[in-house]
Amino acid sequence: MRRFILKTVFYLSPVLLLIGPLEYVMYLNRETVRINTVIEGQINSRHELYYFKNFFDNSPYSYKIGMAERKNARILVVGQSTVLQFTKEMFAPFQDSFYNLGFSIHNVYGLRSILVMIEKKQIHRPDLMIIGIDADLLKKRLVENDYMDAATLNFDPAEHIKYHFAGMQILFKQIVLSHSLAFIPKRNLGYGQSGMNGEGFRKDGSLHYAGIISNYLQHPEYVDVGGYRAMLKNKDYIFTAPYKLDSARMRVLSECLKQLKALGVQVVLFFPPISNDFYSFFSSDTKFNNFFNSYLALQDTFQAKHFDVIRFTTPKRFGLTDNYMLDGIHPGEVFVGKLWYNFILSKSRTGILSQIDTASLSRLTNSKYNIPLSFMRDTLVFKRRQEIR
Amino acid sequence: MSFNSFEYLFFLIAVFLFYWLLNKKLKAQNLFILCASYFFYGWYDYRFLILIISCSLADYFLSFQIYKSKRFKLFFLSLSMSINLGILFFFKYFNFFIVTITGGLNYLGIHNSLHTHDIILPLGISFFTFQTLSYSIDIYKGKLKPFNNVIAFLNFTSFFPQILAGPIERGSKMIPQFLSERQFSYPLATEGVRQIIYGLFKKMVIADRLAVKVDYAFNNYTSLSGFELLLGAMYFYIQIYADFSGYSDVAIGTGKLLGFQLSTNFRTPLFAKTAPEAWSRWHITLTKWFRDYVYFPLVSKNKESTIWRISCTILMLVLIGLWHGANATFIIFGLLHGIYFIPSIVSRKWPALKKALTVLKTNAFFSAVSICTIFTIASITTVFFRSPDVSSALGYMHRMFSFRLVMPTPLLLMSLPLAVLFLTWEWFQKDKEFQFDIGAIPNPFRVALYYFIPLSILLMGKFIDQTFIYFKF
Repeated sequence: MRRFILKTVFYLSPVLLLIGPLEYVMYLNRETVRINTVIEGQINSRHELYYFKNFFDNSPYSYKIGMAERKNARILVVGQSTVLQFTKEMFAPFQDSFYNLGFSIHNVYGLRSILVMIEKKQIHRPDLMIIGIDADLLKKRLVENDYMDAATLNFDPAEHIKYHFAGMQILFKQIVLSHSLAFIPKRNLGYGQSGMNGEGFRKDGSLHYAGIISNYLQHPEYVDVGGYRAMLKNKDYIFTAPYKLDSARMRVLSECLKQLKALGVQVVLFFPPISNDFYSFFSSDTKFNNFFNSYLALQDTFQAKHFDVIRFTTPKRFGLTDNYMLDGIHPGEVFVGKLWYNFILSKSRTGILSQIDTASLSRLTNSKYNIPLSFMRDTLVFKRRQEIR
Repeated sequence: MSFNSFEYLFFLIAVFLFYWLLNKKLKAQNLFILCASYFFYGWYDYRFLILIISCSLADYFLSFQIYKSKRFKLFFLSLSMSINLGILFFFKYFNFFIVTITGGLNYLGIHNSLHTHDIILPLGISFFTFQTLSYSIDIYKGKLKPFNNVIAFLNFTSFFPQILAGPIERGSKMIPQFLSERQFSYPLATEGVRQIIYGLFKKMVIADRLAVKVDYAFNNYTSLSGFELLLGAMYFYIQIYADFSGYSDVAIGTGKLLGFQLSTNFRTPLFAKTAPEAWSRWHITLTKWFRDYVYFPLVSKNKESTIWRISCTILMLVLIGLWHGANATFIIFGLLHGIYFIPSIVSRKWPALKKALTVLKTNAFFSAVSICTIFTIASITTVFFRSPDVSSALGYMHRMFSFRLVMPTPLLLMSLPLAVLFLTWEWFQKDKEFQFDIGAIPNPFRVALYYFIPLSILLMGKFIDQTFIYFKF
């Protein structure tokens, strides 16, 4: 028996020897930090702290909903990744009452889950909700996406051994691909490997794309980093067939909007812009283009129902260039700021919208320190906090 | 507590150590295994423990009545079968039955108030009911005497390595093992660990990696080319093999660690040269069960008739299909496989065809051709197995046979080397009891393989959200 156990341990020793160092490196990258610790850290810190893990699932459901619960925000932004550039500075004097829930939902069922949480008072009822309506949010899918329930909301990968092992695999791959052991960040600006480097979710829920911005500073030209042209060509990711609006999803969205009105929440629907490059690319794809046009027609439908809509545009139509886009489908924060400013000025404002400081918003979007992709305040944060290891 | 979870790893280590601490205390060992098995099963849903315990006890006591009684033998057998099949029908087929009946009545314009219920399927129900059924039938036929040891019998119906997804054992094989003293055997335990590790490798590295591509193909079939869909179907065939045989390897390996010999469930079916051969190597214990309790009794009624033999074979395979789940897709899956048997059945009375089939099996070139053909046909047929409904399966098939020659996306091609390497290894090991039986390989290579497999599980295996496909059956 003893011989058997010793021999088994002997043959498994490389595995056992590898686990320890890999877990330790993840710990040094602040990847094994629990979501609750991140939330407490961000809520209590006077400085900006970024959160983005590279080896673990970022569990945006539990993280973002947890943050929203703590912030009791009067202004909430809800949507997929395309709304992540709405930042608190655009909503003066309500900066402290703003939270961006972007990326915490992946379809309209997620929106419905958030509404249920508002009704159950798990999330503070906001006065204003900006909802990002991407085409993907309403597109028919052969396989239904999952949506939030109590289990996903309380889920934290850092508490499960199997996620640590999955993280080790990603770390090992990174080591092999980079041929380097220099994988511990030199800065300490947040949680997770990216977060420590200053890239990730800010305290207000928006996302700081440090990598894309620093690349832009070196080569100031538009790059479709997400590779959306190739994705559409390969009918991959969010561009899989069938190209049509899902009537069931449309129904859910209508119900949600009706419910929000009944709750007294002011709603703004945001149809996110697309780069000129990507827009002209998919215009030649008849099927996708037809679908996209039927999606755009929804703007008029919603406006006819007296909803406020930030209408779809492209940088060119708005008088800008693609340099204001992070990639094919994600606008940068300056572009979003300008769209928001334009929207605020274009209508007679009521409720909380009437209290938003347009002068401050104008100063923000036209600041001489801006580059097309960024207000550059994070750069100041980096300089102020010389937390170099 | 899935075999590929850390919970199972800790559970197995604890059970192994405590079990052998009770060495030479047979009663204590058996009682301990029973507790461990119920703990393992109750981990998923403790409420179903009541079901399995009551079912087992009913079969245990009825088996004595079947054996002793002369006038009511058939009655007690029917009672035992009604309990087992009734439970199976209620949990697994009730909703399917209601939906089918309702659909039929609606079609005829008859309105009805039948409705389905939210029924949770107890894990492993198809496996343990089949085990107890075979026990009662064997006693009825006089092949087996009832065992007068309730702990051994309960262990037979709930032995944790095989309760969830087989192998489906017979009482005559398993119960005597529970009744005889077990000694720790170094060679057997070593073989068990090898088999467990290789099973996990098949599941976590091969099946789960291919699953990503398979899901991609089946979820996006409307936008993929015929060749990509064929590749998706082939990946799925390899996936279910690696998934289920991986499970069986872990089950058999665990049995060996505790001193038990479970039945072999797979013998490299991907390299079969004919359809009957494929089924004699795939999920062997289930196929044998249907052969012994359905096919043989039926076919014996008219052995000489080829039509009758074909009908019985098709019926058996449709039932095997239906065993997997209450869905028309499984019926079609079984029906198609039944049809693939026809050449072999007809050849019994057609010497020219028999000769041709012999050449297929013996000639190297024709063997290779027939392996590839059977592999492709079986892969295409699994589209019915994988699809959620018949219309999706037909949609997939329709697009697959559109013959649009488009280079597959890199996403699908990326897994090709992994699949080819796996099949190559399995080919060279195809004559072994299990494919990581590497005792004959010279030492430096053998040690390298011992290190390689666990390391590849650590670095390439999927650890998240992957359950065994056969758990849902």
